[in-house]
Amino acid sequence: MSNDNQTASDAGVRPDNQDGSIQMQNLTKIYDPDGESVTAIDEIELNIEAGEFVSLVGPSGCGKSTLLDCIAGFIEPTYGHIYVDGTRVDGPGADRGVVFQENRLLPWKTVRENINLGPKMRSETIDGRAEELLSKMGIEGTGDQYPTELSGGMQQRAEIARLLANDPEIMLMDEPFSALDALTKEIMQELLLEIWEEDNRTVVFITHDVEEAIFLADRVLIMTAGPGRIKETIDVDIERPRDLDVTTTPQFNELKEEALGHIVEEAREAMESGQ
Amino acid sequence: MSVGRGRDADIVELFKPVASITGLVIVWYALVEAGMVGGLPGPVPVATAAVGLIPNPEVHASLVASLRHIYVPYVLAVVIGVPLGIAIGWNQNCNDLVFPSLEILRPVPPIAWLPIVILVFPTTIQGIMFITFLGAFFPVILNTVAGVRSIDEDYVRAVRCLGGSRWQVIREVVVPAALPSIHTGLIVGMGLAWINLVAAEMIASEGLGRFVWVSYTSGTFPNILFSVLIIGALGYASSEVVRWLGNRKLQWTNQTE
Repeated sequence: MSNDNQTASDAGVRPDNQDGSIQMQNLTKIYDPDGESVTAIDEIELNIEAGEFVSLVGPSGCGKSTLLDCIAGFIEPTYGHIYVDGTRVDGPGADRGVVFQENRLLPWKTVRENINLGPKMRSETIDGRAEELLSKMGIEGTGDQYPTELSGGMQQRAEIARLLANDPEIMLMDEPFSALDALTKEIMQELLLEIWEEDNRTVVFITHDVEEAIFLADRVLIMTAGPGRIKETIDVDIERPRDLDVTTTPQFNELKEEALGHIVEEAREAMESGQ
Repeated sequence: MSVGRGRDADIVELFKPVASITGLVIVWYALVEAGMVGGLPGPVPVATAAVGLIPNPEVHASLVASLRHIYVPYVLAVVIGVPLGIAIGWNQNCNDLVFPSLEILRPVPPIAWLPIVILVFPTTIQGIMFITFLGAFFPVILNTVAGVRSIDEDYVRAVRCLGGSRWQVIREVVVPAALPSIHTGLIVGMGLAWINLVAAEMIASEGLGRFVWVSYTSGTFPNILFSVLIIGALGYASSEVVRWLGNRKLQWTNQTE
């Protein structure tokens, strides 16, 4: 199924008025450890539509996390700007929720207290919301437990539940499933798609797993290392809703070959330039 | 593991502190018998003295006085030390402005404060309380600072991206994350408060420190050792109370499998 009119190119214009679009202009972050400047990301121009699922793939150290931290407002870009729905990002905010690689549930709060934290900090009523989200994430009955009592997969479910309780327009996910075993990872990928298809939040998903990137996203961006730039964009025209069966189709394999081709080429260039 | 072995292990656990103290008494006895510690009385004369001293009202009064001297300064040290430690640990400017002065005052031993507090405070008791306060204050503040500094930045980020303000970050992340370290500071601070208290009470008109000093000047050496043991036991017991109270609040730290 073709959805060319929906999948914007890098220079595309925001097509509708749904919330959660991201525009990056000339985004550059230069770190300066010991006076030796390192360009983590270099002049990135990127538009992400509201409701779009974008995966960022690239070798470690290519600036994926820096890019995500900039969108989250955790770090300030050296040059350039980020706009969310036309408003400039100048710090973290509840409109952009982050799922960390190793979950950052507060270990001194129970799972329920963690889930209620966002609404509680805004003095919102939260009756029953936590239970609803726990059951949606398939971890009902864990509300009174502390995060460390749960398995890694359940912790990531609880962290996503905490984010959903806050109802962000954008979900920023930094290799959220990379620490999980293969089976749990697949279950989490399908669960994430299920949730995303319900309310179509914008998702920026960082991974180094090409299959994961393609399976989840509308668009896969392949990044180069040192300095981090977006090398290639691959539109994923696989019909939704998807389940893991699509990963064995010829269409999926073609996309995977294409993506891997770019990554291998990038790795070879990096090696030849002595990095 | 079988139930029987588990119970045996429990008995061994219970026996360890008893063995530790018995060992201390045996070493003490042996040193005295070998004549290696001058005129120090052995366990037997001290035990005999204890029989007379335990019902003695003067001892009771000293004990109550010491507890009174330690309670107020300790609470003050916690009430001032914890917030100040959080401010120093969290805010670089606050650290740069306050920390150097603290570090200069910290190594001053309690005895060196004695002439100063006699000059400064209108009553001896206030001076003693000030020295006791210092004993608890430094461990409390330093452990609080260390606890705040060791917080994983990503917890702060997690709460910020849930919409938390800077104050909410302090309440929801900084304080609870630093709590185990603050707890350590409270335990160590309790021990040091006792050390400073007894040293300062040498100039007082009441308290266990005073009792030790009077026993020395009157030459009743078994009484000195008896009060030393009482001071040690009280210090140990009050640290354990703080530990126990803290562990109840810090249940989450025991959940790790």
